[in-house]
Amino acid sequence: MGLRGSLLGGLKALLRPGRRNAEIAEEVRSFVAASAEEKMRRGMSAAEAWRAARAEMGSAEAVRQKVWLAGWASAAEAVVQDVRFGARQLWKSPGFTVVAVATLALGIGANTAVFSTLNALLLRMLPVRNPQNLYTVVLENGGTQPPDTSGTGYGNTSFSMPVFEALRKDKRVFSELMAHIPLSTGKVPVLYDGRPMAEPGAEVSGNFFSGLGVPMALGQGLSAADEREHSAKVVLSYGFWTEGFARDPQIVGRTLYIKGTAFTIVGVTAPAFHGANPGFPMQFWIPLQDRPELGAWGKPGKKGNLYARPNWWAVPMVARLAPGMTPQRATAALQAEFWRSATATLGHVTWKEWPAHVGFREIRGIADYARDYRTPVEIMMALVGLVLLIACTNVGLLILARNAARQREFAIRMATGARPGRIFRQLLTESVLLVAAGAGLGWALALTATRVLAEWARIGAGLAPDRTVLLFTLGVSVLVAVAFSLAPFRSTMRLSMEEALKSASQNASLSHVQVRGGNAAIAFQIAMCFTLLVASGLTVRTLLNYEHQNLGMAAKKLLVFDVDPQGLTTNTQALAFYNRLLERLKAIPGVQTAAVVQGRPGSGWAHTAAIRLDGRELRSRSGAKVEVFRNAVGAGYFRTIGVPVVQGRGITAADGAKSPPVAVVNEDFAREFLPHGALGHRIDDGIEIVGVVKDSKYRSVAEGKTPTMYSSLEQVGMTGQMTVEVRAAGDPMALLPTVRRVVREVDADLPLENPTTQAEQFERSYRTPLLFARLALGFGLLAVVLVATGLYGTLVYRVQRRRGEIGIRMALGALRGRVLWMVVRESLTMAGVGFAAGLPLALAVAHLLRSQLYRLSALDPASFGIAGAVTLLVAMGAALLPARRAARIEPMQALRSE
Amino acid sequence: MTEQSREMVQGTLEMLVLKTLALEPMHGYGIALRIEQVSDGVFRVNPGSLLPALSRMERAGRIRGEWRATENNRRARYYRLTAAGRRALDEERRQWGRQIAAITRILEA
Repeated sequence: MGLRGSLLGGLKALLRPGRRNAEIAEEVRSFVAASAEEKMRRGMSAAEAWRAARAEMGSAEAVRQKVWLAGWASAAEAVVQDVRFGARQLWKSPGFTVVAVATLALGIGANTAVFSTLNALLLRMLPVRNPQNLYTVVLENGGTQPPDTSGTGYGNTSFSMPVFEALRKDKRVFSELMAHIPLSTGKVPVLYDGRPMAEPGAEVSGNFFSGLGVPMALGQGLSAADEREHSAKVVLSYGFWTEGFARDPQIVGRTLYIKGTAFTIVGVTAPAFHGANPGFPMQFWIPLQDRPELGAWGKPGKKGNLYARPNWWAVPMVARLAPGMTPQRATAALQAEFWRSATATLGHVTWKEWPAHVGFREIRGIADYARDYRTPVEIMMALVGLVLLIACTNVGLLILARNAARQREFAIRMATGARPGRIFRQLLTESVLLVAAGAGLGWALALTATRVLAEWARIGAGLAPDRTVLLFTLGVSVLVAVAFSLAPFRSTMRLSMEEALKSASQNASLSHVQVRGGNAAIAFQIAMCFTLLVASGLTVRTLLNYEHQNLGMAAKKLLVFDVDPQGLTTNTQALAFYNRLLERLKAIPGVQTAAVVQGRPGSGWAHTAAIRLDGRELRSRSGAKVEVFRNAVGAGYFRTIGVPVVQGRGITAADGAKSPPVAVVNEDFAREFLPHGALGHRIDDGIEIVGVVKDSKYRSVAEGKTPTMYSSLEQVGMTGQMTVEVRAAGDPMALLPTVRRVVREVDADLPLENPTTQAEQFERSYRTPLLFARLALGFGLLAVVLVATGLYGTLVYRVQRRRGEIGIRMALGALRGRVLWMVVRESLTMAGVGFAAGLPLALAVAHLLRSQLYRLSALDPASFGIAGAVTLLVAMGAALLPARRAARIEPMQALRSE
Repeated sequence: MTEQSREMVQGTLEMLVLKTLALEPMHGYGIALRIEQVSDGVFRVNPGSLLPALSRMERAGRIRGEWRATENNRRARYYRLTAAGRRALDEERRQWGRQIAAITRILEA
């Protein structure tokens, strides 16, 4: 009551110093007046009485100040005093303080980082006005666009323009319905101030910015008129403005060339906005266009591409539902109009053929990543929680040991009149100081960690902690702080005062309660540690299984990048361009050879199609229509990426547009469909199979069989985006600057997109397991370090407290070897109990992990074995030094100091 | 009587103020005057200590102040004891008694 009341009063005084000051001044005046009156009553003259009264008071101003301070200084002073005293106590034992703060920082930092990731991937909403009313419009039941229409590969989120136009009119259902169509499946070449760049961008309906309620950092968004007139305006993201334009404040009004067309920059969005799909972050937005070169999804098209092709399902939509409208009711209200507009241009489509209706998916986290990452991130959160538990028990043990050593100090203070409350306040202050320092450091760690995580996971939208994360961290810290102050306080106070004073506390033996509590804490830690090690063993072995997959090509020394040259409209032009480019590239010293390919291997995407073989539809043995993988490659491709030709020949420069059409197939294809020899057979309209190559991975490392047919690029056309593969003699990335220069010399406006090595490209196809393994391994190592230090510290402390007892044992004839064994046995017993408790937990975690494993059983004996061995080693290793110290105790010395 | 003896025993000011206010609400000068009179002039309370002490005690919830008119129709801040103040007075009284007894025993030993 005292503290609280005085703090409240102090706050009031602080907030309204003027009023309080006036009050004090008046009280001083009235005091002087009363004093003067009394003196006059006793017979002094008025002048004399007032002078005397004023003299008694002294400086009125000084008194006023003293009163003002006295009011709340008492409370604030107590807090400041506690903090200063606590800090001094911690400063006096720097070793303890550093270890405790570092341990807490690691625990809290790791938790903050993982929660920040979970928040960004699964929870966070768009940084716009009322994000809870926003939904991605999805195709349900049908799952993809209607039969005999073309799509984008994002079948369940893409609609046709007529559907968008029809639905947006419905003002009962929608406050706003917005379209946002990517200008490319990847990046779009842009040019600013003579500098070519490549960034992802989208063309959007006029209500995109106003409907979403996007806050702007500069300028303005787009309008309905901009959509109608297809005006040449562009809005930049804050990130693009920062990286590409150095946050130039004069940027509005400048010109940005997008795919060669001039656009005027009209605005910059506020930070953290990357469009309506956080899984596909955009850097700029333009109004819906009708120029052929700015077709949707990077498809070069005819004039009026978007509007003239009602059967192209290419329009992603985001909806702001009207107040009171639920997704279910919206679906029902829209169905008739949706069906009409979707099928109007299709002739006859029945419900049976295409049982589709629109649905609404809440925009929360990153939908595209959530699918892959939900389970791993949730498991990570559980694992990192275990790390925090270990860190907390560690610091708890440290505090307990420290307080036990300070019992004499507490006992003396209580004997001289300090109340238990006062000592509790001091312990609380020390814990709060430790946790505050740990949390601050942990937050800094988390900032770095999330940057690294976003880099590893290639999540463009970023994982940086936000307010939700801050609340989480504060919550965790408060829990930790309270736990720390309560636990040690109880055990500290349980010891009776006289007891502590009587015995020489340095050598006092430990109470049974304390030892048992410590043992339980350590066994608990070992259980957690074992579990974390099993998890890291399983994930690391999964990673190794990915890494040891044979790619079927020599991927390490391959540099790979994409180009999308503008203004090449005919095949002849394109061929001439690529011939010129390849010739220049091959001339670079250190480049062995180079080739062009349509589909970049390892990108996760593949072109698949049904084909006819020797005039017949390709069918599997069961009679179902079969699709094969297709790719189109330039001359010398197989030699460049290191895929051997086993029969016939590869694609050469002779396979031009005027030569007979040819194809090369891989062994999977030949084995599956042409087991008696593939050469000479014909695909589709007379494409002759002229060669068979070894199998190589197409989409990703983990894929199975990939029967593939390779066509000649020159024969199928080479306009649009292409991938260039460059084989280097040495480090491929070292060639990149030269390669960049050469590309610029061939076409000054052509950016080189997504450069990497082919090996790295394949690594991306298992980035989830990779990330998972790195994190789990990190947590495992952290656990080992924490448990080792905790165990070591506890054992050292116990040996020190038992010096007397050990001395007596030795004086009575105990051998040094027995004393050594006694300490090691103590550690091993705790490890044993830890194992027994940890095994069920580890099994449960392994069971959770099983969907994340690749070619590995969740009960993988190697992972369990290694985890067990490492834990045992930790228990032995941590015990060894304290045990040797115990064995070296000189009985006489130990007994004398008793 | 020397100047020194008029100094109050360390830490007793609060107790004396509480005791004084236990009789009736009073303003600052009234308290000072009462303590001086009752102690036959042994204790003279300096306003530079009294006013801060009142402020501290008010913050601690032992007394409550309010502005009222005096008998001479001036405004003055009157203080009265709260329940917590009454408890504090009892406690301080007991402590004081113990201390006096201890000191006496030491002196007479």
